[in-house]
Amino acid sequence: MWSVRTAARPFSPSRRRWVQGAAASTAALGLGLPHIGRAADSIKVGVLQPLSGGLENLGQQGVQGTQLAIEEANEAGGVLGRRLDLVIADDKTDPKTAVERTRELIQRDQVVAIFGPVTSANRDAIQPTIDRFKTPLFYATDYEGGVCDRYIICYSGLPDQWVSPFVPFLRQNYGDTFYLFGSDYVWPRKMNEAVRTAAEAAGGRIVGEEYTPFGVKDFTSTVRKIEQSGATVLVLDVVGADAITFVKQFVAAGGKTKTKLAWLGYSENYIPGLTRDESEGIVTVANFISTLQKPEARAFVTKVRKRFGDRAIVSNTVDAHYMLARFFIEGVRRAGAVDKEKIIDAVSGFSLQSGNGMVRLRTEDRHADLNVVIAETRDQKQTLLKDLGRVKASNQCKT
Amino acid sequence: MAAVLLIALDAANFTLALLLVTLGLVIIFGLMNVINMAHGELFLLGAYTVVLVERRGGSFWVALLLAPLALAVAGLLIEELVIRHVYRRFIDTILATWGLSISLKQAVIVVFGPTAQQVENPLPQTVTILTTLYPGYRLFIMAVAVLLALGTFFLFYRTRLGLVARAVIANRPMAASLGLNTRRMDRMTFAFGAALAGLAGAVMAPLMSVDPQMGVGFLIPAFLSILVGGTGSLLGTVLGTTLIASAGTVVASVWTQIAAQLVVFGLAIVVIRLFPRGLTGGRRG
Repeated sequence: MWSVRTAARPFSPSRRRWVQGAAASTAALGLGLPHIGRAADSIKVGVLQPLSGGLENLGQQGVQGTQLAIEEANEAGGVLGRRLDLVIADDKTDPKTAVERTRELIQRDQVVAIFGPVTSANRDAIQPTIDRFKTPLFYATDYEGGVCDRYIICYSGLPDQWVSPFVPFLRQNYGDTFYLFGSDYVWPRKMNEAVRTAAEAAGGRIVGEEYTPFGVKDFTSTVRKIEQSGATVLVLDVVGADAITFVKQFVAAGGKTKTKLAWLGYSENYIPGLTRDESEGIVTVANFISTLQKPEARAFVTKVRKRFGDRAIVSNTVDAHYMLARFFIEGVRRAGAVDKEKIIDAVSGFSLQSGNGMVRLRTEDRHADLNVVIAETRDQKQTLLKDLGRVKASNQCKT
Repeated sequence: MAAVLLIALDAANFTLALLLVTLGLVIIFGLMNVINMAHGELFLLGAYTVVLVERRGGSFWVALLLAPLALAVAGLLIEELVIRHVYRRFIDTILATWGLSISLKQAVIVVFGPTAQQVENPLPQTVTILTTLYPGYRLFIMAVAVLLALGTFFLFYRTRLGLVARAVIANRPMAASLGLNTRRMDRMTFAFGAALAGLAGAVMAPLMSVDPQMGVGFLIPAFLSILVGGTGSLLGTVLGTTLIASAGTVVASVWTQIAAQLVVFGLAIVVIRLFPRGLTGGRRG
């Protein structure tokens, strides 16, 4: 494969590197053309996000978070004296496209790391490519857990991190019968597995569990089943537009008057799609909410709005991507060289200030110990109910 | 007993909602023989008309009247610019309208952004039916669907205009040689179909996520209903939607949504195998 690739490209990577090196040394010797030398010598960072195909708002926020951290680093003089340049690729929310774009980012654009994607399906699809080219993937979306790979670094809320503190809270405040309703794929099923364990341990009872295929537009029968089950708490892990459709129909049928809506994966992103009545009282668990009354949270929200406009949604997603990009930048700094293996070794084992407290990236499984809050939506704003502080997930390499 | 009646009510509800969405499609696809891949986006534009009107401070009911008018105009434009050039080219129609669907969807993303939009529920009250609370707005949807279906039936089968439209559809050269203006009829029929799609989008907006992808979800069961019921007849559409929607709702009620999809698609395959021209089209051979 190697020789084929080199032969196919007259301007081979090694020759390009030589040209860059020559330009850089010319600049270093003070013989002019400093900005060309700088530009050629930049560190390329790949972003792989869904910018079309259904999850574009999450993709956009992922790009914003990463971009913000990179721009800050460049304003402060770059890393190891070099600029960071983003190369943004659209995976179209599709696994096959994600694999193609990943190869392009690594082979054509020569990125040292990739930030993204959103769905587990796309992450799993590109994992072999990531491993084969030994290029680190920085994944900053909440997921079902269990990824243990030297080349994948996660800043994600995991089932036991979210569920184990959240379910006892629900049991204590809203009743002991739970109905679980999720989209039919791996994340909701793993979440509900954790919910079931936690609910039974807290003395609760599961009175129903159901999954829905993507794209269903009529949830009457599910709404009816939830009502007839007599559940006091509905744990919802349906995602995206389907979740909004379900909640609208659930609220229209008076569901919220009898059952507390506990929505996993809910964020500021959903609020504009629901009316005040529809979103009122939805309770959720998250690593970050934009209305958190902490100095670091307010500073972060101000910063994002200043860069991306007053109407920018400052969600969990923006914070997670911003944070993970900062871990990467600090990792490069600590590695002292733009070397993928050295960066991976240096990227964990320290803490940084997030939008919600200090967060540590663990060395043993390359996952983050996050700070978790429980929040309720009141008057179209998330309101803090309980600050749980740092919650440690179990070691993802030992499950 | 009450449980069975409730399931029947839920089934009737989804059937009528699906009928509402399918009506526009059956005119364009079933009667005009144009596979309109952009039908979901006409539905989408209807829903976004509501978003636009509500943002300007207008009420939902005003938007409900405006949506079909706006979409009738859009339908006229689409017919004039795209559809009329591909009437006799069946496969090209798919490609042209598919391209149109992508452009319309992306235009909505450019103007409104990719996130879901808020639409007020104009009838948030619930009504007690049997032992349960029933959403008032769902009853409204059912009423609209019944009225529209009757209205469309009346227009196509009980008026002179409908007679002319069906004559043009059945045999264009003959209709033209009898002095009927076929271009005008094509234009009007397509605009009417588009207006129905827009109205359906506006009516459904309070009960589903209003986002750029919303058009696709109803399109598949709607196409399926027409294929199962038989193209070219309104009665077939009623039959098709009843079968598709009721089967789905009943299976989802006693089992799961996943099983419901399996049963619905399985059923569609069996029906189309036995009745290739749909239930009203007669048996094979």
